[in-house]
Amino acid sequence: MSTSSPSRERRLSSVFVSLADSLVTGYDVVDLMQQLVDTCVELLGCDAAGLMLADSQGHLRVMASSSDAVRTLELYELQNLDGPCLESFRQGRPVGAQSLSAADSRWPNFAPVARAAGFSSVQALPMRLRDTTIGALNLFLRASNLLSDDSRALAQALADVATISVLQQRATAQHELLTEQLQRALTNRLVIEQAKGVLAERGQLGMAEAFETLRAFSRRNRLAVSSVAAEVVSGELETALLLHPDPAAQ
Amino acid sequence: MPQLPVDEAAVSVMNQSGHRGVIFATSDDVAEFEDYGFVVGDGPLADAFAAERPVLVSDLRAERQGRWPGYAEAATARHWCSVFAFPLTAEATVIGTLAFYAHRPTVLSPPHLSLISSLTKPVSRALVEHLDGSLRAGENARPADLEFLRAEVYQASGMVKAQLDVGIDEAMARLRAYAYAHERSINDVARDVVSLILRFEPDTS
Repeated sequence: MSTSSPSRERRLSSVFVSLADSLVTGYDVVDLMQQLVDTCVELLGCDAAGLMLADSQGHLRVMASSSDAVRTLELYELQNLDGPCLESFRQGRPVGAQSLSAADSRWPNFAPVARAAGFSSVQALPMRLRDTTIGALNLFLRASNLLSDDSRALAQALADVATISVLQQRATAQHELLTEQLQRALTNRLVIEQAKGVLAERGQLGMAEAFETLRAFSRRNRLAVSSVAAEVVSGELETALLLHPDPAAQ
Repeated sequence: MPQLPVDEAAVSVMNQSGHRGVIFATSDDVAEFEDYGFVVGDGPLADAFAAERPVLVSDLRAERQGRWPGYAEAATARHWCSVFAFPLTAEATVIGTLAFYAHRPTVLSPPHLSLISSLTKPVSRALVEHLDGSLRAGENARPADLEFLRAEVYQASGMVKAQLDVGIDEAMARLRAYAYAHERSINDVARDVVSLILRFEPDTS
């Protein structure tokens, strides 16, 4: 990498700014991941970068890759359950190897394939916030040396900001769904209470009996209680059908 | 409230179809008045919810000839002078209000508003979690946690609908009008309807 220092700083700053922006505005997590790996290759001295996030089952999936070759590698790594990315994810700490030719016993499946792809050294950095590790950033070099301390620190910092962004977006997504669910649950409850009232009055029943009538009709006709309730309240459904069910129809 | 120049506070859940229920209140008096908003349907809290903006009223006496005559009249009778209503939002959805009350005409300064601003997010979050817990618990929920649902009011509206053979909205309006005219809490009126003490005939008022 032969960019001059001030220019590299400027470009790094702008990447950090846009990562920080993503914390405030809406953004696409896949775009963010791609920006991160491309930045690592452009500005930090590595030859390839891949980012993996764990899914809800804890399996690592490739989210972004600077090239197809690395992608294949990471898929391979996944399938075989060894490699620096997996170690970094599981242990929540940086894992690297300066020379992959000495790594065969450590990573019997990953090391040969990485070498075959032209890489000599590798560095994995955890995507971690306190006790939660959500994935790992995998950096590959063709030359047999480690990244400079500065570059490694910068890569970890980028990964940290990205981790916060992903976690925040997940919290937001969960919350939105929950709020919508709550609104619907609340409305359904209220409509069910109204339907109980209608049935109680028309059938001269207590509220518990009225609810049981509603439930029994819904069960018999394989309908949701809330939708039957809505139709009772709107008048679309004749209460006689619930209160005096035809024995022959059961 | 040590830092704010107000006497009481309350949190209510609201939805688009006009439901509202008190979740939290600093006293029974303010809970009763916050609850009263459900009867009249309008007022600064309803406006804050609908417009998704704070509604700040320093002197409700002026509103008796203004925006909310019925609400303002009831407030004055109960010695509430200032009401400051803030919408509570969880992500993109308004879910209720946080309201502050004072017995004397009061103004909120920018630092006060800033403090309240910092409260609305955590209060919204707490409200969502409380609602989630209560609704999930279903039949196992504590009765106090489900009061905000006003189940009896909705049951009563269904009964009134059937008694008068009208639409559900009209039935609810009739219940509200009865509570307002007789100066009783709508929950009490609903209880009477559900326990068959009160029946609505076409001429009931």
